[in-house]
Amino acid sequence: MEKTENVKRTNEVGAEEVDNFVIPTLTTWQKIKRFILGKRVLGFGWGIIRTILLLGIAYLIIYPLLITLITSFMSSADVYDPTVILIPTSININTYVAMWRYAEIPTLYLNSFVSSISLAVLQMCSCMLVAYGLARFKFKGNNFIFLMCIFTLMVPIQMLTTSMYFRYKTFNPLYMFSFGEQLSMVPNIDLTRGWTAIGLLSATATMYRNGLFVFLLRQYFVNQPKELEEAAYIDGAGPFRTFVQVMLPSATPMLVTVFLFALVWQYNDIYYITMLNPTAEVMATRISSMGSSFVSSVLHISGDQVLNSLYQSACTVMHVAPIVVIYCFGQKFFVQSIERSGMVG
Amino acid sequence: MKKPRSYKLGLMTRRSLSGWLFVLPFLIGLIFFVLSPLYTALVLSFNSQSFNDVTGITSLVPLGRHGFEAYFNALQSQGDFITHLLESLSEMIIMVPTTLIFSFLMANVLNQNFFGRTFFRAVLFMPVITSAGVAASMLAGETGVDSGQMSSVGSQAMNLAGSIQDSIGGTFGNFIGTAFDKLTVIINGAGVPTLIFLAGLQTISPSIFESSKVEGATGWENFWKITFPMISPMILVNTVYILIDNLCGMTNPMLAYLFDQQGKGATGVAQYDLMAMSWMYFLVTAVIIGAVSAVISKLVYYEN
Repeated sequence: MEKTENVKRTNEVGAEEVDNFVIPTLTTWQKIKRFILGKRVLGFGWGIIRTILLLGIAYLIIYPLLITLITSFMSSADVYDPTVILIPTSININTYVAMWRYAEIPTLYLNSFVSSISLAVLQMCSCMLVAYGLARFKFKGNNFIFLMCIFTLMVPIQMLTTSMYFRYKTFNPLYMFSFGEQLSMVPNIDLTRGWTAIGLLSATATMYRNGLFVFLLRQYFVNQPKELEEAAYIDGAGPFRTFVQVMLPSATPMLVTVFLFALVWQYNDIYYITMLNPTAEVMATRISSMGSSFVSSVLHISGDQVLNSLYQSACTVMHVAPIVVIYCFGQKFFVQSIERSGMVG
Repeated sequence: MKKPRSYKLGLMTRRSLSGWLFVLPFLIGLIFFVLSPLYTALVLSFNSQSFNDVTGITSLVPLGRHGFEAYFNALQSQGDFITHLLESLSEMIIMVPTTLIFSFLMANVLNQNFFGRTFFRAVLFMPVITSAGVAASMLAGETGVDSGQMSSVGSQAMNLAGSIQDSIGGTFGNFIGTAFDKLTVIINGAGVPTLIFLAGLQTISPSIFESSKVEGATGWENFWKITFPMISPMILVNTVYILIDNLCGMTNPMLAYLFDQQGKGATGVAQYDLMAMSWMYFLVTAVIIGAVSAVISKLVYYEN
């Protein structure tokens, strides 16, 4: 009885308080302040600032692309004319036609695509195996090997040019850490012939920035539920089969992201290719000097920087165009994939 | 028929064995393709070596022992090492925090809902592809065209910072030009970090913000009390990434110098001096990255 009474009393008190509660009347100044700080005006103002900010940054990013694209469509008269700055007087595709033939672009494209796609696939496969091993199996040295992955990112390859070239040129699995005389006793393998060295680096997840791929994929696999795997093990699947049939299908966006990164970085790589496969006829190594070499050897004009830049810009556009197209198709995977990896926590 | 029981390993042993099997490719690569050249560089830094073959390096023979001579050389007589090291470190001190903050702000902006978000996202992640390798230098108009000789309006336009600097002129123009130059570097370096931050922001459940809004928290409080702790693991990841990008990237002054000297061959600095410089620089970067990540990982908040 007492309890109900208590409740009643408190209710009454509550009701009294509500009755006493008066909505404060606002002065004009307060109204104005509220209006300005309210969602509409402040939100609108922020919207404008944001748009300007983003447009500015987007401009800085697109500017070099745009200017190269525009320059590549100029005629040689336009490039010399100081009054022509951004808009060419007429669209001229002769530069492209000339460079397409001179630089043998179809061959370069074919070589570049085939090599970078297959190397990117190799890198993706090796990285996902290593990442899965690090994420899902507990063994001694697991953390150490993961640290080593980050360590490979830190090793600046520039400083290793001589020693890397020497080791790959005279590759000998028995004498990897010795010098001199011993090397002549056993036959050495020359890895710098063709794509062997770069292929091996890709297959062992030690190519350019592969540590990053291992990191991203490991993060993804660590956060996947364990039940899936356990169910697969109980059904009698081995570790490898579990990996391929259970874990991989759900990892598609992450794999696509890693593949795209690997593809773009491989397509753009000149460092490894000039060191380990200098005879390769690929876009990255051949295209960067095509403009000036065309001007000097076909047009017989030497030292004309303006004309050089005109022909070079057409080459640049042809080099960058495929990756921009691939990027447009693949960029939605970027956010999606890392989003699903649940990297936080 | 009896099964050969002795061949059957325990479950844990089998698990760890298959773990090693998965990691095996990387182990092979690490030993044969990374550690071996690294060790070679270390040994060569203590010795003067000779190339046995003129046509190519068929064998590298360490000759006289120098001990730490090359290291002392680099630190004392050859001023270039210290100069370039200080240059890279001062650039790191400015660029790493700026890139980190910029990418964090960009991720926050791109996480908001507004008209044209898809377009801006696509454009802002563009540096991920256009700042890579040869495409970057081609777009900057560096390859094939000697920037010192660029005189026409058309090729001047290739260099936005330069044209701004020229059009304003004076010390102020110089300042603005440099700022723009650095801004482009920051934007290019912020591609991947922004992506990682954005992904982190999207994993924060909206219900947390909802309940804090009910409790009367302001946007400012939300940012410092929810977004910031939740994103702190990303800050660690991105700091390490930006540090590596900055200290070990192709544009780093120290590495550019070393690479340049290596290209010169016999006419440049002696090989063992270069190797010594490379190793010292490598140790410096390793210490910096290790120390920074150790400090930040203490501050990281883990939800679970």
